[in-house]
Amino acid sequence: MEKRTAERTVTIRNKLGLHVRPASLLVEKASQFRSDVYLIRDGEKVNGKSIMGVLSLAAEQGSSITIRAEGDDCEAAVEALSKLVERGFDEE
Amino acid sequence: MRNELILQGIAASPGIAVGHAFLYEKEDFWIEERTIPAEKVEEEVDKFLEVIEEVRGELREARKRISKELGEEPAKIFDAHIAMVEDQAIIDETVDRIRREHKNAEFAFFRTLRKVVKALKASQDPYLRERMYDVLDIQRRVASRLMGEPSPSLAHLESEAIVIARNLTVSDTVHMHRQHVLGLVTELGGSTSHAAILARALGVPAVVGVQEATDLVEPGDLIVVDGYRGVVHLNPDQEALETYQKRRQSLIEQEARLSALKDLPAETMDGHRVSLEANIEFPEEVSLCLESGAEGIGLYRTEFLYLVHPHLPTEEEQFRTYWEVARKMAPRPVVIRTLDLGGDKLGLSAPPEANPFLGWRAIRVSLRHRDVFLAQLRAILRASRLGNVRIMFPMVTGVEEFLEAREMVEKAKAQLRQEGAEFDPDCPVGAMIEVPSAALTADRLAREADFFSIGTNDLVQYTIAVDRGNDRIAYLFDPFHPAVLRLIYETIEAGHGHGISVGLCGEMASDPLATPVLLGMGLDSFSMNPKAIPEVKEIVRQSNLGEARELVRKVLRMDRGRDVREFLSDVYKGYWSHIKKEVL
Repeated sequence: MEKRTAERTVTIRNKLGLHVRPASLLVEKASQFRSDVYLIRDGEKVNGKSIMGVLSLAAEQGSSITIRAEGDDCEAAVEALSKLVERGFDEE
Repeated sequence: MRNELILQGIAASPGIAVGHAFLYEKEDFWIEERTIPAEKVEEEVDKFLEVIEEVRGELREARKRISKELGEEPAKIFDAHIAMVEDQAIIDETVDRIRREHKNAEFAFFRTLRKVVKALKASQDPYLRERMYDVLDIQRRVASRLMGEPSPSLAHLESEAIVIARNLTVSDTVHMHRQHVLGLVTELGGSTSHAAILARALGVPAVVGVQEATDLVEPGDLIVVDGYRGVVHLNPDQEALETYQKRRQSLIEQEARLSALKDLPAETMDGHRVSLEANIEFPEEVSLCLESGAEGIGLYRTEFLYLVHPHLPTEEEQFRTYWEVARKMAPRPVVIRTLDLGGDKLGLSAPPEANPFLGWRAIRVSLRHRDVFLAQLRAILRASRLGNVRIMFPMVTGVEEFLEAREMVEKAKAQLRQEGAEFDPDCPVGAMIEVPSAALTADRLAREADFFSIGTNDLVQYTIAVDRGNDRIAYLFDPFHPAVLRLIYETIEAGHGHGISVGLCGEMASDPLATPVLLGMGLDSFSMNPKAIPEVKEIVRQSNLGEARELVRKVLRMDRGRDVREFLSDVYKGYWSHIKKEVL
C-alpha cells in the first residue's frame, strides 16, 4: 500500500529565520506525529524531526520551504507545522 | 629563566590574578575509518548510545550548575548544544550507518554530521555559521570519548592556574571550576564572547583577544592577568611581580576599608548630595550593586539579551529580565538603555560598513526595526509598574530622533493601556548624550527629555575623532580634553536650565581624578562599575562643593588635557592620595 502524503509550501516569517529556538519548536511539533516529516528548500531535503537537519537548511526570513509529511497523520502534521511557521513561531 | 613579555588584549573581566600557566590546547585530531566485524556491530552501537547519553548528562548538569550559581541568562549558552546532542534523527542516522556500513561509531557520527557542518559553513548568516562550531565541538567531544582519548577538559586542571586557550567553547566550560581557575586568557573573542561572559559571572579576571597567546606562553610560565587593563604579563621580574602583588593587596585592603562606607550618603562636607549608581549588564549583578551601596542603576545595558539568545528575545523574555532588576532594586531607580548594537549583530541583514562607529547602530537600528523596538519598549514599560524604571535612548543625535523614539514609547503605552497591562504612565524617558551634536543642542533636547546621561566613552571618541582601539592614536583619547570638558559642562548647564537631572555613565564617572570636577560642574548622578562606588564616595565625602566649583573655573580655562590632568593630580595628591595611591 502506498504511503499517504501531504505537503504545503510556506514562507518563513520570523526575523531570524530558522534559528535554534524556532528550529527546536518545529522539531518538537513534528515529533508529535507518526508521519515522517521533511522540509524541502531549493531541492535540499532534510528530516523535519532533526534539529541539526532543520538548522542546516539555513532558512532565513522570507525564504519559502515545503513541508512534506508521509504517513497516516500526514494532513494533521502539515497543518500544524504550517501554522507554527506562519505564526512566526510566536516570536514578537 | 624565560623571557619577560607583556601582551595586550581586551579587558574582559576585572581583577588581578597571579599564577602559573595551564595551556589548554586542543590538538587537531583525525577520525579513523575502521570496519567493525559483524558480531561487534551491536556493541559499537551500544557504545555510541552510551557516550551520547554521557555527553547529554554532562551538558545538562553543567547548565544546571551554571544556572544555579550564576543565573539563568548565562546558562542559556548551553541550550543550542543540548538541543543538538539530543537530536534523535542524527542519533538514528548514525546508528543506522554503523549497522549498515559496519563502520566505527566516531566515523559514522562524523559522516552524519558532515553535511550539517557543510551547510552551516556555507550559510550567509553569521549566527548560523557560529553554530557550526557548536556542531564541531559536539563532534569532537563525542569522538574523543569514543576513541578512549581523554577529551580536552578543564577538569584536568587540578590545582590553581591561569588558563591560556585559543578559544573556549561551551563544552570546555562544562568542567570549569572557579576554585582552580585563577585567571583566563584567550586568543579569540571579544567582551561578549562565551569566555568573557562566564569569566565575569564567575568573578575570574580575564583578558581576551590576546593574539598568539598559546604560542607565546609555555606551560608553567608565571603569569599576571590584569583584567582591569587588559594586560597579560609573562614571567615578570621580581620587581614587577612585587608591584602587581602590592597592587592586588592594596586593592583587597582598600575594598575592606571602603565597604565600611556602604550605608553612608554621598554628600560633600558642605552638604551637597549626589547619587552614586551602578552600570550593569546582568540581573545577577544587582546583589553586587546593593553590597556596594549603589543608590540605583544608572545604566542597565540590554545588549546581552540580544547576543545570548539564538533568536531575538521575545517581549516576555525581556520583561522577565527587566522585572527581576526593577523589583530587586526598588524603590531605587533603574535606567534601562534600549538596544545599543550594530544591526549586523542582530542578524538583521546589513551590508558591511566601512565605518561601523558612524554607521547603523543603536537608536538608528531601533527606529528602523520598529517591531523589535516596540517589543523592547513594551517589556520595559511592563517592568515599570513599581515606578522606579526609566527609559534611555543611546546615540541620540538631536531633537528629531529623540522625539521619534519618544513617540514609540507613547505607542507602546497606548497598546498596553488597551490590553489592560500595568505600567508606570509617568515612566521618565531620557537621552544619552554621547554624540557632540546632542551635547551642542542639549538646551533644545532638555525641553523634550526627562533626564540626560552623558556617555563619556563615546563622547570622547566622537569629539576628538579617535578610536582608542587604534594603538597609534589611542594617546589622543582624553576625557580631560578641553573640548570634552566643555561639552560636559554645557550639557549639565542645559539640563539644569530646564530643571532636569543630569548623570554621567562613562568610565569617567569612576575616575577619581574626575570626581571633583564633575562635582563642581553640578553633576547629579555618577554611574559606574559598582566596585568603584565606595572609592568615589570617599572622595565626594571629603570634598567641598564650593572648592570644587572653584576648581572647575580654573580647569575650563586650561588649554590642554595634559594641563588639566596635572592640575587635578596635584589636587588629588593634596587631598586624597591616602585613598588610592596608584592613581597618579
